Amino acid sequence: MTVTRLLHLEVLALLYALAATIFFQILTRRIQSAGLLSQSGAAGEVSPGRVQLLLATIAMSATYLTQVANATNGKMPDVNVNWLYLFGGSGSIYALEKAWVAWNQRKNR
Amino acid sequence: MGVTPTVSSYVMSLCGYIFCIFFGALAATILIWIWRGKITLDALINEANGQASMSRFQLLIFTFVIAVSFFELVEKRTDGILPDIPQGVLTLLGISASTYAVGKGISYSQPSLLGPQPTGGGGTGGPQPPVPPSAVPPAPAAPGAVD
Repeated sequence: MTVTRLLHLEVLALLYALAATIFFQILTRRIQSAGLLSQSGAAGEVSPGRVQLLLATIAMSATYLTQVANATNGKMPDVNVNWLYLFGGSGSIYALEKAWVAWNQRKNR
Repeated sequence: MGVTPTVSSYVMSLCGYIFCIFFGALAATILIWIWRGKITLDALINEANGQASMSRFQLLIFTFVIAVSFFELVEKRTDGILPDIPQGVLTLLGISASTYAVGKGISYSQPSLLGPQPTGGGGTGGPQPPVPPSAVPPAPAAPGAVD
């Protein structure tokens, strides 16, 4: 086995092991994920901005991983510009909602 | 003179294997310390107030997706050259990191939203009671300060 092949396997093993560890710790609640989809300061209320950002993230990741799996020439596939617009809009909605909640809480204080 | 390339390639190969051993030991140490709790990840996706942050979670997912994609594609290449990262992927990571930075800025611009910071106990806890002004000792005057 060559040095480059060995190093490549080591990096991939580290990445997969780290991802599995984080996923396991989220499942067993050692990494706190409480309130991931809730509005700040409003316990239990689901935030539409966070839900749409989660959906956009999952859709984007799944699409990109599918493109990578189908790539045969070893080139990284580019991201469609429409996906970038969608993703920028989704992030903006999330940030605006967060700013709105923070502004309202400051006003009501 | 014919011996030199052989010696140099041998040294290069030896250095490569030494680096592989070092990297493998480093990776194993990091993973073992995470499993034993010496490296704590419990606040990995938390905001300043202890609530989980969607933007941190998103950045975490994208980092893994792009990193795994990159190293998987390296394996498919036959020319031994690292693949170029396209502009769209960089833009995607930029959008994700910007969302995270904006969210962090909003969180830290609201002192009332900032809950208790973990002080080594690892718990997030609830809001801490405010400290009365009388309980705060006055700061010592700097030498030469004028009242």
